[in-house]
Amino acid sequence: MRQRPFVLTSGRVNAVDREIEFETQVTLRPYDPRVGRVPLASLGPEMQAMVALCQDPISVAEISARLRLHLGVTKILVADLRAAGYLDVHVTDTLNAHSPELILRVMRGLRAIS
Amino acid sequence: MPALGRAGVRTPPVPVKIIVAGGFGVGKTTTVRAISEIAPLTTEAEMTEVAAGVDEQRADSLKTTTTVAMDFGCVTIDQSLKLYLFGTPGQDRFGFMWDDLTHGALGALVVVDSARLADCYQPVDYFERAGLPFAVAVNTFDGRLAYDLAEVRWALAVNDRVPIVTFDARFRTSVRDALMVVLEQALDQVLHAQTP
Repeated sequence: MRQRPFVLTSGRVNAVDREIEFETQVTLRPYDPRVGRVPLASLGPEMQAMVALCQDPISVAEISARLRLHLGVTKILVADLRAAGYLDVHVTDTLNAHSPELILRVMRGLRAIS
Repeated sequence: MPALGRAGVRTPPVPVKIIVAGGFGVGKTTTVRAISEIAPLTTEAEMTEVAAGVDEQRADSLKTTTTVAMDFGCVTIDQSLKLYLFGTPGQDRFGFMWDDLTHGALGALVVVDSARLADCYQPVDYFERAGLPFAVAVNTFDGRLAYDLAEVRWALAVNDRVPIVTFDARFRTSVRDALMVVLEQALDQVLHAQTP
């Protein structure tokens, strides 16, 4: 999935934030020793809890729901953790309409539900 | 604490979503619950609502921001595709600007209680203007239907191309069938957009 370029404006809001949707997927970023990052323990308890939730791919809405944080706050913390090197935010390219193939895949999957 | 830095990082699925809209108490969460593989979760978000100004002579409307709760669930289609179902906020006294929620959705299911048809005018209007594929699904409580579908269609005054179906929000296969109708609309729209 294509990631949009990271543009730092005020330090908290950037190009990626504005494209984070309810269903946007978040994953853990593996530690890169060449880059390094601040220790997780130095980040707030909310951020630590967030990282713990993202062991498996998870949507921003689910993070918000499970941590009982407003979606707006969640987006900011996700963006901060992304900047800190702990999370990857997988922004989908919504400029292109959904393809027939994708819709058919969803239909096939639903049809299998009994 | 999670084991950070392990080699096997999971690639996330592509997320798609269908919006479940409709008036208060019509059965949106029931719909989501019936088909979701997880118990419905609730996310709270700021939404802008457009209220009519007190002075009706004024052309501007008053925009306020309020916190609303949305129930949602998900269905794993396959390893690389996940369908989310997001219910619209439960109580819309005025016109919520749902753009944040509906942006990029495959389509919407407008759940209707046949005894309270007026509750769905707003969502139907919104989706028609947004150009989002949608279907109207009349929630039949224990098989009861206040009007027949032809009367429902007349009362809603929706475009003839908009499907109106009955379903029971409590049952997974019924919800599945209603969602399939939405997806057929979505497919139809995409295919028509492709023909020159």
